Amino acid sequence: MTPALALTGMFVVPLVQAILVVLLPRPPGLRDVLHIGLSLLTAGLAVYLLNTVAHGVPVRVVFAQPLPNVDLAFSAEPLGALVAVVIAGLSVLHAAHTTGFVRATGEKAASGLMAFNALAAAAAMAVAYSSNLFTMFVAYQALALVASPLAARRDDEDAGRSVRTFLATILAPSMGLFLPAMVWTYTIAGTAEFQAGGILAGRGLDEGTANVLLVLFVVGLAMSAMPPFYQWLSATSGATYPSLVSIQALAVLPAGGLAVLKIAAFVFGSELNDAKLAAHALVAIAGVGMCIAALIALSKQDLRERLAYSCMAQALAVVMGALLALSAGLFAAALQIVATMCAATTLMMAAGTTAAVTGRRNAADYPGLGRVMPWTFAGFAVASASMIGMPPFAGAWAKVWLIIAAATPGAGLIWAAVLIGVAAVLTFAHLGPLAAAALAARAPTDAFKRPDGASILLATPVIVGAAATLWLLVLADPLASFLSPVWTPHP
Amino acid sequence: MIEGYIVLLRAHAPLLAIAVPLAVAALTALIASPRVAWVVASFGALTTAMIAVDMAGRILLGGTQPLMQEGVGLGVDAVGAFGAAIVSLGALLAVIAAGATLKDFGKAAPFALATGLAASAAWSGVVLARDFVGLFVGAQAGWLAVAGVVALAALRDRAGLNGALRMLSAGGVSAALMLLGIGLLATSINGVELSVLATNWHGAPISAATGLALISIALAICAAIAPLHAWAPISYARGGAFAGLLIGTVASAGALCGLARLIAFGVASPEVGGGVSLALSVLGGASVLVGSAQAVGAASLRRLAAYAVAVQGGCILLGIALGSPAGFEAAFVQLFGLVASVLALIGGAAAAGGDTLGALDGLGRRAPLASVAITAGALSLMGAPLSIGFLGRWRLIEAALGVGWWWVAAVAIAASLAGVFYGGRLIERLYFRRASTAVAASRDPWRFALAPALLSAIAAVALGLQPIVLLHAAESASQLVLGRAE
Amino acid sequence: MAPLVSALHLALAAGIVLLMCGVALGWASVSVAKRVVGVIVALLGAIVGLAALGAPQAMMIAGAAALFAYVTIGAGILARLQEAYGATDVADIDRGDADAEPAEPSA
Repeated sequence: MTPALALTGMFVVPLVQAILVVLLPRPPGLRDVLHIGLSLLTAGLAVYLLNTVAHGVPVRVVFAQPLPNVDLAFSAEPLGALVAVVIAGLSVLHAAHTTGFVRATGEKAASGLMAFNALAAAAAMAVAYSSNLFTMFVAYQALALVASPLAARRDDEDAGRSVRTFLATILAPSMGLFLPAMVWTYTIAGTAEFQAGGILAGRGLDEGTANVLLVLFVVGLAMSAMPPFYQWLSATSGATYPSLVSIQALAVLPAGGLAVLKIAAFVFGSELNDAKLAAHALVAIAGVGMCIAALIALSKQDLRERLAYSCMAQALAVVMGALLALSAGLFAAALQIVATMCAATTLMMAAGTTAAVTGRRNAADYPGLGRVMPWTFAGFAVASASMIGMPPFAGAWAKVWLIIAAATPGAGLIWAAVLIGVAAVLTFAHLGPLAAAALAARAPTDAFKRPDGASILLATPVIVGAAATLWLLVLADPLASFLSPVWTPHP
Repeated sequence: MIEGYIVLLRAHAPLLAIAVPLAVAALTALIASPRVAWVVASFGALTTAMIAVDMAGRILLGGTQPLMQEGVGLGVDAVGAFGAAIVSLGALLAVIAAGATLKDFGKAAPFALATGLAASAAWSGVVLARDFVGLFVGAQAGWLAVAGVVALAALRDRAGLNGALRMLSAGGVSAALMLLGIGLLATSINGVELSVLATNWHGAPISAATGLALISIALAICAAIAPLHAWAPISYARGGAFAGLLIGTVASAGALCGLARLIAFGVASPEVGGGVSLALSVLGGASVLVGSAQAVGAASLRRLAAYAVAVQGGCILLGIALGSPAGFEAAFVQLFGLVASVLALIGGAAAAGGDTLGALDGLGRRAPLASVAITAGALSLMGAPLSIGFLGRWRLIEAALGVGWWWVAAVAIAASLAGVFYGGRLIERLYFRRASTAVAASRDPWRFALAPALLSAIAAVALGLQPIVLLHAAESASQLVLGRAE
Repeated sequence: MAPLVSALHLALAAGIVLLMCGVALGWASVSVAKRVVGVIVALLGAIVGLAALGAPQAMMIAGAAALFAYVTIGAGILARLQEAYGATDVADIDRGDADAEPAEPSA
């Protein structure tokens, strides 16, 4: 096994998985084993790659050369490898949960659901491993396309409108804003290849250009849920839970945050200091957007909508961290991506389990359910606490680093730190009471649609996800040293 | 011995690229059975394509000197070689794809195929002509032949006649403008040979430039550049799939190549170069914006294709207008992209038996291969990465930034942005809608006719992934043409 | 010598005027017959202009051939349109076509 082969396998295995799952829908047992088994294989490859990166071995695979001097190439660097491991690992849980979910709900087109979930995870990992701007653009567009069928999976007849909004609000900004920014960067720097310290740094950029480029890049990456292009998130919130996990917790939303982070770290680097005006404006938009999203979440009764806005608030924290122009901010953003992915995936799977076995979808129906589904709601509570940023859970570290980074004299954005705090309080308001009521209130008498409750496939992923969220807590320091090459420019 | 024949054939390749399709057209028209005629026409088109591609390969990639053929008024330059290859490949795929819609023409199918072959011969003549007489005759013959195919579609849908009428009046206008333009140009540069254009500018630059402008407008009408494309939507929509394919892949491609040949001489001249590129870029920009706006609101697939051709044609004009080798290269890449997308879109839809947008609803389930072809065409129109359309747009933006024309880059981005909307709408219909009951009983496609659409779809993606050969050909074409014009 | 030059100029001007009238008629007239006539007038004007400019004879012959082709094909289409639609008004024909075009479900 060579690292290059493993990196290729990261994309080939999910592709094979998608094809096999579609080709072999019967017997369902075989299909489910294939789905979970191949997800596991992908996760193994991701861990192997992470290990390789930790030992300092460079890995780069060129798939094609679509433009002179620009490759379609993937490489493993610490940030990408870390996020890919988390995606691949959570994908295993998601795969198991999906199989449980489709069994519990009698989902008709289960194979397609599994296939597109696998492809979406692969495309998100492609964003993570992308070695240059062009490859990231390709992976980003591919992710939008493979996730669109997931956005169309809903109970009502509104699939067409949902897909249109999803594709339009993601693809149009990427074509209209990100693409020109990419070509512009290429003409300035003569390269599109990511590099620590930023490819634009030291090119003698004037402030105007730097500011405009930053706005084009960040607003063009609509997957980060950065206002004004966030409507895709609410448009998809009516989808079924396995799709929602992919869209909001595992693939699409984290990929957007990661893309912004990679742009900040590898394209701008120290050049962000020349784009202060745009960066501060974007931080302000993200901060205010975060508070508003958390507030909207509070007003939503349908749990899917509430979680969508909650995830949006978390994703905007990533953007804030990435734009602070500090290594502490970059680390906070990286940690925030990882912590949010674990927490949000767990939360969504727990809500999915609840919906599958009790048919309850509204926040008002949750009180007391923790009594009859203790494991699921234990996971729900842990994940909620992490999303809120309650110490000592993983999300807390990200929030603390973010507040420290914003408030340091280097950034001097006390108001940004305040916004992060306000958003955390609002997140507590829309998640905390829900979890508390579910665990503390009296159990409802007719909780389950069927007498046997949640199957092991539905409950276990939630518990493991919650455990992962807890485990992250002890990893903050090792992660900081592992990720340090990201913000340390090469000589 | 055989090598001797091959050398002889290669020496006369330009002539053969025109004579072979004409001869096969005559043969095809004599055959009574539509299927037999289709087979014969396909072989004829294949032979022509092989000759033209071989010629282009030798000149663009093999370093053979462009040749002037004495006695027949033909001369191959780099653009001509590139154009003849594209036109003949387009004609080949259009003829093969016509297999799915032969029954639209009934007993006249052999005649329609013959006319199509004649059109391809004539447009090859335009790109291979050595003098303005050949250019004019080729353009008119090609135009009327395509109009004839549109008129033949009236056998099934009388609106074909309306399309033919529009083409006739537009073509007549273009012929008159071209004629006067050639007159002005010929008297001011003292000759009708295209090559004289490069050297004899100094006599009367204003009247020569006026002549060049008139010829350019005439060719822009033929290429369906918006807003001169009033004839195009109805001819595409109601002239049948074969006519739509011919218009897009043969007539538009031929006219755009002819235009590129002329402009290569014009922009190199210091007296009028600035004016020529300004006028062209304004026309190109207008075409992109008008075409995009119309494509977003298009009511049927082939109308959408007509507007998309206007958008792509506008991008090609913008590339030519830049006047730099990079701009010409971008134009050639886009030309290839245009042909591939038209074939994939119209060919895919024709093979699946659907002309309307409504017929595309849920086609992803009913005809997966045709849907893949249409999707690839739509993605290429959007300029989605890893497609030939993206490559063309990227090269155009790069070339525009290279000479500091920011607004051209902005227009190219606008074209892609609009492409997201109209291309996305197609994809949404293919995969995210349920078929209405009315179209559920569509006819069974004649399988082989899908091959051209699929081939184009594969080319649109494969050349987006590994475009080295195409880029090399486009690059050497642009350098040869600009080098000679200087 | 001078009068000859002005006669040529007059002829060129006449040719251009004819051409422009023909173009306007051929491009935008409401009647099919007038469009065909417009095309013919435009081509005639172009040929007159060519003659006035002293362009090579080959061009004029080619122009005359094109004129012939447009006249015959135009006449053929005119007749077929009359048969098929019973009208020679472009607006009427367009209306007939729009009615026949399959209705699209709204997006």
